[in-house]
Amino acid sequence: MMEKETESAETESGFQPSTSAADRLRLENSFGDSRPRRSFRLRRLALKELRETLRDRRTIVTLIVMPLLVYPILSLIFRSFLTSNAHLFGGGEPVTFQIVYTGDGTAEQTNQLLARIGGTVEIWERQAEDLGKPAADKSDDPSTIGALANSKRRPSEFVPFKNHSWVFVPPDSGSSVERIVADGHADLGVVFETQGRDAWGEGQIKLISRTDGPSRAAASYLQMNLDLFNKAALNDMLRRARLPSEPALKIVDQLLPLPDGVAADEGGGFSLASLIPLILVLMTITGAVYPAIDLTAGEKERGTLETLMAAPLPRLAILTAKFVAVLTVAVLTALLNMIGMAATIWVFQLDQFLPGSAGFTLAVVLKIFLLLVLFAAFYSALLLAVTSYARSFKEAQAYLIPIILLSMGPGLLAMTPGLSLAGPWAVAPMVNLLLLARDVIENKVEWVPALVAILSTATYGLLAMMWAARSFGSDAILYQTHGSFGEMFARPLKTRALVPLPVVMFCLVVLFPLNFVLIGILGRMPSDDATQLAVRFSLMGVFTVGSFLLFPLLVAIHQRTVIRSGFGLNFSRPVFWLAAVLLGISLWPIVMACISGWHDVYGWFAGAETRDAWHEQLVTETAAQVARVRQVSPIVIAICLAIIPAICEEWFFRGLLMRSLLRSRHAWAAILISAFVFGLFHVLSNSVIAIDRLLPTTLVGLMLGYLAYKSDSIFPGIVLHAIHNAAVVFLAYYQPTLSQYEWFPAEDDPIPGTWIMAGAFVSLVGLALVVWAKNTNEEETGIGSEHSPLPD
Amino acid sequence: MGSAARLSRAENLAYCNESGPSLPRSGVPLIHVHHLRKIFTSAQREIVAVDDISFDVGESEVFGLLGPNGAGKTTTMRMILGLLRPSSGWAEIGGFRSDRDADEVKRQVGFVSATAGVYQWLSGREMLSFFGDVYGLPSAKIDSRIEELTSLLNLREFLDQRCTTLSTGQKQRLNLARALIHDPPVMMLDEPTLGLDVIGSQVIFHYIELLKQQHKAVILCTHRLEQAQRVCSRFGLVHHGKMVMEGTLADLQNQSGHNDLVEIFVDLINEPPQGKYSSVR
Repeated sequence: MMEKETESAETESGFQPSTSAADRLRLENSFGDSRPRRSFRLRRLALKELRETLRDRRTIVTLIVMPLLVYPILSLIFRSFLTSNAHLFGGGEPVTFQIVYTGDGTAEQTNQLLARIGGTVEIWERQAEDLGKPAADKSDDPSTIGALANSKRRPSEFVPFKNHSWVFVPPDSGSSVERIVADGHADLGVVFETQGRDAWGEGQIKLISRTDGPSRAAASYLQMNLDLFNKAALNDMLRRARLPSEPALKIVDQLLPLPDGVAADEGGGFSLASLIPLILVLMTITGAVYPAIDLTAGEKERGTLETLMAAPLPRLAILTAKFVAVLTVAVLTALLNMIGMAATIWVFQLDQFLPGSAGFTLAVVLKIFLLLVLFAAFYSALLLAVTSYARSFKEAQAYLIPIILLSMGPGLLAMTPGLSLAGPWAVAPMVNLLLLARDVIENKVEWVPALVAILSTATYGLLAMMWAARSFGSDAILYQTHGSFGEMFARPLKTRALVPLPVVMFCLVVLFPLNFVLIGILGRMPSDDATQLAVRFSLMGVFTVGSFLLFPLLVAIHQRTVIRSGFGLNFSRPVFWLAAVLLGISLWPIVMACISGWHDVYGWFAGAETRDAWHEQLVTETAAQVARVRQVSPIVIAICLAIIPAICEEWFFRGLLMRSLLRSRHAWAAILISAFVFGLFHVLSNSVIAIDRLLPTTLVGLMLGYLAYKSDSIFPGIVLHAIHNAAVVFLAYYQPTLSQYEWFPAEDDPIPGTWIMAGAFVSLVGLALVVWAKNTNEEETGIGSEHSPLPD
Repeated sequence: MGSAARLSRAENLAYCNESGPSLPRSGVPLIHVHHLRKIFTSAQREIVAVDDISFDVGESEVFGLLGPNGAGKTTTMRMILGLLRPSSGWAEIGGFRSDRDADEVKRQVGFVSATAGVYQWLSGREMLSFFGDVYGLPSAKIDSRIEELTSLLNLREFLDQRCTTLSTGQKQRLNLARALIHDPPVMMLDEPTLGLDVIGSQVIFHYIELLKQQHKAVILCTHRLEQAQRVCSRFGLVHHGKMVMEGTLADLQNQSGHNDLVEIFVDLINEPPQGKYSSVR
């Protein structure tokens, strides 16, 4: 009976549900079809998320307590830093120095002297501030000193003495000035040794200071004023003697505007204007992190996410609500931090250290706030995308720590003095907004790069959101069971056709640093004579075999993988061999053209000068390498630079890596990824980071990948690779001989256009052969299928 | 039986009343599970968590999905609700397939999972009204519904407290109320008495009886076999992803030769595993 029922139900449900069944259910569900509008639901969802987050004590801590505590503490640190480096900054002293003084004259004499010094400086000050009239007009004033007025020094460098605390220590009081300063009760000790006189050259003033910042600052401050006094006195003397008081050489200080793209190096390489955005950005991150974890991984852990997923809500609506909540908390954090910071800056009068700014106007604060909102949106989306993967709070934290540390990089980079919002920096995530915020504070925003920065950040935010939407709540992530690390390396019970992708990725992760280390070892080997060089090249061959052939082979054996299918050791039809040879002999002019083309692109980005310097360095190094290569026998070269790399690299990149990728990725994605990784490895295989090799090597990698995909074998690729390598190496090797012939270009000349055309033509023929050739095993699922591919 | 599926609602109810709740089949299959299968793949192996499970549950019926831990009960429930995509087969609720119209299916189902939590920073009332909103109830209806469920499940004393202060039993009752807020025709209860004391689980089971009287179709996973024996109209015994036995208590007794559900269950577990974690590769 039961079985019969099931059967009838089966036939019934094969088509769309009958309307009667649906109607019946609507009737039964007493609330019928009152579906809420999406916007309303989204608002309710977001409200719930927000309510939940904002009631959480831990959110409140980051939101309110942090800014309340952080800024006063930060400003204290900053202030003491500024004080100790006061001479570095253009601004006036915000502090009062504690100065103790004594003298060998009477207290009255000493005070008179001090007043004279201070008075002289003060008179000068008043004159200099009186900007309307040329100071020289007042040179008749008996109390002024003409030379002082002629000085071009900025008035802010001189602050009347009375702004500081001067305490007289009677000489017979028993406590010495040295003692007081040494004990830290005063910043500076001054000892007048003039016996009450101040005639020229008869007395001296001793300044006693410690080596710490404030003390040194006080000393240099007084030193400056005393120099001025001395100068004034000298000028006065000259004037009385009716001698010319003009200086031997008049100094004219002319300030030029900065060239484009160079930011002012203000404040001795350190600028508050770039520090403020960084702090705000970091605080915004702090604000977003907790809700992002709590609303995704936290909900998963507490078991409320499944309940939400069991409700008739689109996944995107749930995610958007969470995004809105995280963004709101992040923006609130940013807002509170800005208020805290603005208050701190105002209270501690730090705004005078903001060079080029008109102070913290409301417009500046508003602009910065809008930038922070944009940043918060981008970062919230990023955080949600990452935390959606985690199953628990702890796991999410583990994911986020590297991300937060990584974001410190751009943050610190943006602090680099002289970095301007232009070129690649305008699109570098996080750096661009930090630089833009700095420019806003310094009031020198340029609209085009600013727009580029804003639009690119918005794009990144959108991309992160799309990524999050893809991963959030999909059943694979909602109920994922991560295999443990040990499980990944456990030996499978049965043999199989391919090494699983996670294991291959692990190989890659091991090979990457291994490659670095091996190159480093090679770089340290002696290479003075031909024998040593031959040893070095041989060792290079051994390393290549070890890392790209033996290591993957051992992994495959451990994973009980059939070597033939795992690496693609299949027979190949003649058409692929032919194509391989054609491509092998014809790709190198294109590669060369690519490299010089890249140089032009680089010049376009970094400026012709940088490009030329870099190019020259590259040429010199390459020439040195080629010169060394020429000392070694061509057979060794052929084996170590052409044949071995061809076999081993095909074995790993087109064999293990691409074939494993093919199983889970679309064919083109697999070819592209393996080619890019191939290119990346070659960039690092030189002593210089040869970024110019990335594009051509990736291109060759694409060809090799496509060939391996179509032929279901790595053998034709090995031939292509070997011929190509040999062509490049031996053309350089025999360059001196070859260039004796007229038809071969000399050492530094570019490849002739006809050669490039010819190369491109032959390559196209080779490529066409591959394209038109039938897929090997097309009737099966192609390579990378569960079935071990059969040979032809 | 095929004609019964096309009975009108009135006829249907009449049929129910005539036959009473003790009958093995008392209505159209609101829930129809068709050869569900779920294979989880990891890097090293493939695990068949649910292996060809089929059953129907009709109105006013409580279907006890029983089995030891890891038998595949929860995975089955998740697939029925459309939270997990089946590797093959499908489930249908009220004519809607969960792999095609997941939202429609979710609208018809109240789901209480073993791991279901509560929003710790919201009060019970806020949580219920939030879910009322989520299911699209008008606010007046939400209030009256909360009132109903409050008296039914005895929530009054803690309804306005933050959920973080509630006891396990209170949380579970709140979760049950949450699942019922939209008065769904189908209830899926996965270990609703997990971690509850005797009194706590009595309340739940009492309420399940009530659901039956309200003509709801209920799937119940539980380890409280004595209570299950009383409340369930039919049973499905799952072991290693397979439906080992299905039918009324009488059917089960006939098949196994044991009288008591507990004995049947123990017998089932002690059987040598057939194709445990059948490795595909």
